[in-house]
Amino acid sequence: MRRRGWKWEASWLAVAVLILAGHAAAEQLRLPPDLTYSKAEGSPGKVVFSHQLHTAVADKCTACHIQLFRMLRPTRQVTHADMEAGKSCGACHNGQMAFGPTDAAGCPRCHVSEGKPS
Amino acid sequence: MNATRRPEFTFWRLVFLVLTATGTVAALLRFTRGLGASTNLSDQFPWGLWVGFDVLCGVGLAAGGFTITAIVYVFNLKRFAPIIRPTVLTAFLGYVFVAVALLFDLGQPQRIWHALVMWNPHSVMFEVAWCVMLYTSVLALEFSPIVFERLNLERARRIVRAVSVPLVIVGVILSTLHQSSLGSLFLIVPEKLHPLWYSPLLPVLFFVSAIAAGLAMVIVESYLCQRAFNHHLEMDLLETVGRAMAVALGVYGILRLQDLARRGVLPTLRHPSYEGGMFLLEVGLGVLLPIVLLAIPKVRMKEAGLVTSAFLAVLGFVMHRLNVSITGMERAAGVRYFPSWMEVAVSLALVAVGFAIFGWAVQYLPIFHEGVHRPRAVEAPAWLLAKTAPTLAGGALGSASQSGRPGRAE
Amino acid sequence: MKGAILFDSTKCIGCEACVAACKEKNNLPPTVDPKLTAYTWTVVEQRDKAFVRRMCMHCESPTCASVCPVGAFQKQLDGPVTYDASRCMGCRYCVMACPFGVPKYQWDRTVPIVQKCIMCPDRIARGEAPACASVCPTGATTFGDRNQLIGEARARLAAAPKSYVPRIYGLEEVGGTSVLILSGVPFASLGLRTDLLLQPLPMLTWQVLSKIPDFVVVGGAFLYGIWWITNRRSKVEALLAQEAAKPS
Repeated sequence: MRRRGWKWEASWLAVAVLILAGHAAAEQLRLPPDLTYSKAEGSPGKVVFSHQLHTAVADKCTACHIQLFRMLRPTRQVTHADMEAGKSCGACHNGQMAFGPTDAAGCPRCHVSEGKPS
Repeated sequence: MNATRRPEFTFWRLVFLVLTATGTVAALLRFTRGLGASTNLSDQFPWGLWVGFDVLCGVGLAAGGFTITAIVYVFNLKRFAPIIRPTVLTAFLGYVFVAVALLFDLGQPQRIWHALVMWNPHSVMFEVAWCVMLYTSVLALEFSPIVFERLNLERARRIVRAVSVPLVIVGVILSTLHQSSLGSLFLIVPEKLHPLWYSPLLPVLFFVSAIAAGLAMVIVESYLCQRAFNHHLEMDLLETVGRAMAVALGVYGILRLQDLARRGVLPTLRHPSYEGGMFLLEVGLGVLLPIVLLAIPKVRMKEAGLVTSAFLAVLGFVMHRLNVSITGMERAAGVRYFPSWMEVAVSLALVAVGFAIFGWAVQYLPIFHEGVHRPRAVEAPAWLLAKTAPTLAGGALGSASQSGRPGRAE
Repeated sequence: MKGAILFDSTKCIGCEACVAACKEKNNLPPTVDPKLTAYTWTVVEQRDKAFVRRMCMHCESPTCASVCPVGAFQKQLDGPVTYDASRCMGCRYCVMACPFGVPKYQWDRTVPIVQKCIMCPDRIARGEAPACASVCPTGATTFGDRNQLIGEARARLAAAPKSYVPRIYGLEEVGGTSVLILSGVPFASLGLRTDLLLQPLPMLTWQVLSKIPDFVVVGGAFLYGIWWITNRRSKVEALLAQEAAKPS
């Protein structure tokens, strides 16, 4: 086995620093907390929406707010029918811009069954 | 054989018809589609022709009312009495014209009465609104004896005549206040109005130029009434009015020059600019030229010379008001403004109607002391040309110096 | 508390959360116009590498409140300059006069009103921050008492002098505004006018209007005096003429 030199520890340290820095930067950016859309009838499970994930794709809040989603008093219910009509999540999650509701990856990509982590 | 008499379709009657028809269409568009669709106004340029010409010029050109009544009743120069009636009629029609034009310009004209009950004494516009409303009432009262005379209501006529002097004094004060306040409106935009026109002296300049314009209109009117009704004023009366006009223009010119010099604006004229050109046109044609003409006795003694000087003074006056409200505001606004055809149509139609009412009044009321006059059909149109010519010329000169067709900034 | 907003351009990332929140709070159409309009009450403009927010400056001595003939604008004690649409008759003097070009008109409506940011007066009355300040993820837009925010701004200027232009925009402009701006680049490059008077603009017209009562009294007396003199003179002339006409 090749002996790991100082570069091994150094790179782990660099990664740790980067993670911490990234965390700090994210903390300076006060994004809204994750939003939970509760499980409705016929739904395989709740959906947790992450702003952190989505702000990486959209450069401005006005990409979604407020023509798709309210901001100050959020909507708590989205249906697949809405999505297929191009409203709310469906404006992007239509299979072209991003994965759609009928995607092969299936329901767990969004829905969390009770008990399982996302 | 009795043939029915067809109405005479002189060229000018046709012009009147065209103007009022176009104006009516424009009015319909204004009230059914809103201001955005019927004007070239915008957030960057909220005030246009209807404010700059209809209101600012309309009020100023009607200034003859307070000037002549003051001369006759306060200064007791009775020989100018023959001028009072037509001048007061013009003034009254002028202020009514302004009120109607306002109904077009206001976004919600049905709320025009709000200023009566919602007060903001810190607002120049509030003061203008009140003074104009009160003064229009004064003018109506000053005009009423003529109507009472016609209706043979001797008692009413005598009552009003008895309070002539206080009425005129109140009229002079109200006029001084609102003529100057139209200038004060622009005191609040030192960072927007071009230095060639912005001045702390704006109220004074507007007042003095109103006096000059009022006197000029007396001469212009006299000329038009002669053409239309074969009624004219004695030359030496007109000549005195002409001289007073020259003095008023002279005082105005000196005030303006002094103010520009003190604020260090004159050197900017050395570099050619759109504003500089408009300024020179306004002052050259409308102030300097009439003064020079009137200074020459040969010119002044002839009616043609007098009337030409008066027309030039009116042109200069209109140019000044349009330069303050439009030209001077364009650079800061970042957009050029030119009225839409609907704005022009409404303004011209209102002027045409004003003329028509004047002619109608002269037929049925003792405006000229010799009794009622019937206009000679072929001469009646002379006023239309005369009144609109300075405006059209001013507008044409203005548009000719603007490059390209300006539009609203999005 | 005199409510005010501090906008720190160095912290702004141009995300437009403030724009979206304002739209929702005031029930405005979701389309974001590139510049202020009657339907977009705040915008974020990108100027080179910096961002600037444009909105009503809520002046301490508002020009709009001074010029409106029917008093539709009011500077509230707790900070906002509010607008009462029920008074407005649409003269557009406010649109013409505002040194920051804030009030905008509904040119497309047949019954139009003026529109501008009103600093969420109902939220402020409840002790909350305006919608824009409540959603800003970087703290570029913050809300608080005007004096405290001035202190905060001064602290930031002192702590990082190289990062800022050493001036608080809105501290003194046109007599001071309730929207204060800090910037890392010259304010003029953000599109903010730096040639504004430091005195409230309403003073320019009040100087004239306040003299009116005096003028009315003096003018009335003066004109009456002239009439009295000239009238007397013409009466004397008439009498003399009568005397002269009498057969001796």
